[in-house]
Amino acid sequence: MWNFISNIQDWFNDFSERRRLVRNFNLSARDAFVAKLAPTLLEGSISMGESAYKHAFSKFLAGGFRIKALSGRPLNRQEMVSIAQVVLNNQELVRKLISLGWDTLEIHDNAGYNGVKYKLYDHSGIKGMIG
Amino acid sequence: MNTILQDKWMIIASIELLIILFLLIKLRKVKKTESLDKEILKSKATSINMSDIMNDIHLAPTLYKKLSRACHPDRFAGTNLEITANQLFQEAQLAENNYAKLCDLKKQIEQKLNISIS
Repeated sequence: MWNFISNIQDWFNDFSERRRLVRNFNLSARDAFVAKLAPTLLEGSISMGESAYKHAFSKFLAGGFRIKALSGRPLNRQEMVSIAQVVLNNQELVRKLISLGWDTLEIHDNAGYNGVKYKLYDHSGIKGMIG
Repeated sequence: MNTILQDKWMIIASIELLIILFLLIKLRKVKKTESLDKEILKSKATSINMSDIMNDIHLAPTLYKKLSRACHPDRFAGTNLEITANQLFQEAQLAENNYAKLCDLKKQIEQKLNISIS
């Protein structure tokens, strides 16, 4: 019984932590855009994710961390990859995303139809623990 | 009558043994998950500075281009600074997406290679 209550409490804690992370990302992106440090406005959101990239801690139907670039023009693949590389090279961030139930990193723009998807687990440096 | 009772007890004992084995296996799995949970909890507790990430996304590529041009080993070929330039160039390549590290490298490059980077 206590285990069940604890599970529910954990679920709500994770939920608020996920919302906080996305909110912080969006606030920082907005600040950078307003201060003219960033040429494009980035927006983070939670998406369904890729079912093939799931791991043991994936959240059901909410495993995707999507970064949308409000660029006004279709971004080329190199630009999307460079944004993704910043996230994927930050192992602390990748581990935090995985621990909060994300399994997929998605980057796309607001004008084109293309995007890139990455399996977060491959970039976490975790070996043999989950998967 | 005795043999029937003995058989019954044997069956009950073997079922009990199976239940104990099942519970032991389950306990082992729970222990493994607990150690994994600690790892996960550690990752959850880490605080990420999103401003740094924004700098890495937007400012690092431009600075990296400047630094890689400034300390490219070809520019210092045949001079005393060639090895230093090569080392700094490799460090810059490793820190391509890390704005804070690139800023440190910029200072080092300016000091060690006697050049100014605007």
